[in-house]
Amino acid sequence: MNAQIFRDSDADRAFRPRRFAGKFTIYAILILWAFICLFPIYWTATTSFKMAPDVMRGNMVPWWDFTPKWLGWRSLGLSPDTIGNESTVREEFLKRFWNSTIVSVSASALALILGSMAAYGLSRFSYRFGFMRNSDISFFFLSQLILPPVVLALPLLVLYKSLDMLDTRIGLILLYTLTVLPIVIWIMRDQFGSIPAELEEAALVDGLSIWGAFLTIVVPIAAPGMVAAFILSLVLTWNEYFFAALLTSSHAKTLPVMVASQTGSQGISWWSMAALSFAAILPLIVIGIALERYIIKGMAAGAVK
Amino acid sequence: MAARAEADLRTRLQNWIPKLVLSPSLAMIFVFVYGFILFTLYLSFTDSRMLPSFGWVGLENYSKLWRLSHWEISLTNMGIFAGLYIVVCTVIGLMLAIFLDQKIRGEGVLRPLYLYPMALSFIVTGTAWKWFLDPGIGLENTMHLWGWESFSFNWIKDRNYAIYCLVLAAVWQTSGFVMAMFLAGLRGIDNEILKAAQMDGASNWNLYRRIIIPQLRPAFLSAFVILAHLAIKTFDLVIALTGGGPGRATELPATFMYSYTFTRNQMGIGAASAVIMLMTIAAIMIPYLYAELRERK
Repeated sequence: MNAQIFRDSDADRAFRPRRFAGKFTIYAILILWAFICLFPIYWTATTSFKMAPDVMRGNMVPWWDFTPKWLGWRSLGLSPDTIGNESTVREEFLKRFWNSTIVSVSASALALILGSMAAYGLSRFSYRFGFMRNSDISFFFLSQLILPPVVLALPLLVLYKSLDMLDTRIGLILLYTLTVLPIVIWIMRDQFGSIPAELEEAALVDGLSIWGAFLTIVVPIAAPGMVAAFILSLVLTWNEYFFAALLTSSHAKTLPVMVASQTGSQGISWWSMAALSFAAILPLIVIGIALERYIIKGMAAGAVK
Repeated sequence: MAARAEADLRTRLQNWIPKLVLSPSLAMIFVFVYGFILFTLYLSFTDSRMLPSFGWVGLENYSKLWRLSHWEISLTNMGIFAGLYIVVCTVIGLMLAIFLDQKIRGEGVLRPLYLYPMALSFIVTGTAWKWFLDPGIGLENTMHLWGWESFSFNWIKDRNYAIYCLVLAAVWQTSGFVMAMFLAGLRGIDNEILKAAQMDGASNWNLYRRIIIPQLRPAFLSAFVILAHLAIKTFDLVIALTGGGPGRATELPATFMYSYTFTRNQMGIGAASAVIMLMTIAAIMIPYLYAELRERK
């Protein structure tokens, strides 16, 4: 997928135009930018092992100008010597972590199921829905992506209050499903569109039902796109802050809200802040190794966040 | 007989499948997005304060809103922020894409690294930015320790400069993404034209200025549209870095709406500001999205 987006045609590849004189400069700039991109992550990771004077002195390189200590992680109850003990902070953290996980995974899964179905319909059948045809319906879905969240905030708050869904995980899950649905539909529509309909026709001739053809023939071929859509939804919902801050208070609070409330307090203890932040982005960093092609697929191909 | 009824049911079910697969998503978006937009629009014409109420006040909220200096400040800030953000991101993104397109070794390693900032929550990476921008311990302090005593970098505490801190962080976050869009555009250009131009003796500079960059027009357009709408949506960044301060120096429309609606209990005014933001984004995005879809058809 990714390979397709960034692939130069073979004829173009063989062609070597005259290069910029300073290849070295180019490498230097590219590496500098990579360094800039990674530095905040590096800082967060290392600072979680620093003591106060190390932060003040701006020491950067572990074992060279400061000795790593478990200070930050101890305050979270996650250092080797405290991991066995009771710790309220750790419990709080794990609760938020669990909330984030459950909310983002369920919302992404739900969006993937609903979105794949809708996308399959859009790529295979012709609709007439009032004046709307297929492309108008796609537009109808996609246009929701541009919506500033503030527009939905008020009615949502009112509705959730009256349904008693404030501060519940289920409320957050449903909302997030809604917010990532258009992206899923967009990615999956492209994906299904690239699968020739003859495949299913052949399957139908062989006696499979539409569902059977969809599940046994189409889904396996479309799996890469589904993974892409799922991962992208996961990233977006994991990071979501605005609605989480608005709709949750104690029970269903997610990690970004917890991190934000910590920063707000005066006299930040950088090491524990850093430990908390790093723990919050760690899952994404891990996924991130495989992330690029998916995020590109979702973002650049659809060209809308 | 039974078999036939079953077959009938099956055909009917099959006929319904197209509707069945699409309707849940359609209904969800219809009610919860478009319905909610209408509700917000309606609220903006009422005298709602802490709770929604339904006393019709017409355009009063809008006229109140435009008289608020707070709103004016947030719009001015938005102008500065969006202008700089779009220009700088586009320049850096294009530059990175052109450089990466020079058959660079390790492109596969660099590309994902550039996207990391976008994939991580700014609420979280903001911690490192807070440290970096803090004069007491961040860059300023580090420079002092390295012996550059007169170095001063206290933008985050300065009313006139705090907004540029937001730009810095926002550029850091999205440039990699813009790079990806331009890179995809560059890879789509047919090198035959470039070969011909080179035969005619065009210099590298002219090659880019006269042939390649003009061909990237669609990529420029999508970059502009996406950056503009991201700028208007900006919220996390302000909360993580400044909370709107010092004073109101970094207040943006989204934070204005949030504070008016949820902390100052001026729901009507908040709704009015949300509607204005929606209109602005729609004015930028809808023609673009529509054209894009038409093309793909």
